[in-house]
Amino acid sequence: MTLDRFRELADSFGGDVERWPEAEREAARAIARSDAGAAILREHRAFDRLLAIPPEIAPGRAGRASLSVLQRIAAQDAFPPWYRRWLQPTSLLPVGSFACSALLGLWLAVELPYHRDEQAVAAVAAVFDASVITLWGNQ
Amino acid sequence: MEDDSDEALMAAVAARRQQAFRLLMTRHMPRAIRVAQRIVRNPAEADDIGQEAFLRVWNKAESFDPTIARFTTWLYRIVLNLAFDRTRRPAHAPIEEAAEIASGEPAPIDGLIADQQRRVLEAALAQLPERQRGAIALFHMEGLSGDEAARAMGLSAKAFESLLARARLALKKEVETIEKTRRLA
Repeated sequence: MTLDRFRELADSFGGDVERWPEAEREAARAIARSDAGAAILREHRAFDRLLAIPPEIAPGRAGRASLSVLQRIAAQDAFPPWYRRWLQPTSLLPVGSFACSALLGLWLAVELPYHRDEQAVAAVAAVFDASVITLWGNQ
Repeated sequence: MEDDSDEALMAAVAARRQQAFRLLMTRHMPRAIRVAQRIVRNPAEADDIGQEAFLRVWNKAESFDPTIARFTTWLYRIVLNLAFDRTRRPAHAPIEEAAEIASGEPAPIDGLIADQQRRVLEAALAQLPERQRGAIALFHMEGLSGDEAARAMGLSAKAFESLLARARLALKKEVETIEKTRRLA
């Protein structure tokens, strides 16, 4: 390792060789023992200490934030999104019944032979004739 | 359960066990808020990011794969993404100490020096781009290795090394400028 590379690594990772990339540590330790290497590391150590100062976080903040997360999860579970509500068994029952009825009707329509029966046609016409029967009863 | 690893707790969270989730929050909410605050510089927004990050942990627990990344790397990545998104939005001026309540007792001299250093650092960090602030926070403040921090930021080791070097150099210049201005005042 050259002294320039040593300086580059110190500029990136600071004055503690043990925190440098593992592959370069062994060679760096040898340079760190020299006067020039030791001076470079010394120069960076004070700055490292400054950079390690964390922002001030009041002790209760993390607890309050955690409580808010639990409240939001409870609210989210109490009122799931529409697609989850639609996938509930109670929502699927009427949809499933309708789909089965429609399929059965379609199957019957395709499978049963068609015979034009005047009597049956007259009966159906009578049932659907609005002048005879309405949804609200006989007229 | 208290002694379980984060990854074991995540398996329990994926099975919807709230006790494991509470334990994860107790262990890691402070660092989520700390890293977020380093980047967005606003305590209220940092708290929001911490909450949002853990809500994602709960909702996306099934997608966490311990063979790809450690839990902390995954969490840092979520926090950084949320924080970088926030800094891109037009924001109000940061209120540095909004969530803090100063103690009425006189601070000891060491505390005063530390406070002064913290203020200098905050002021200098404010001048840096958010990705450089993130690199400083992960490597120097949280003590992650270069590789871990690079993974959390979605960068190659080489790219992270160069980002960190730029961040340190810029920060050093800012700190020197602030110190010089203070001495003149």
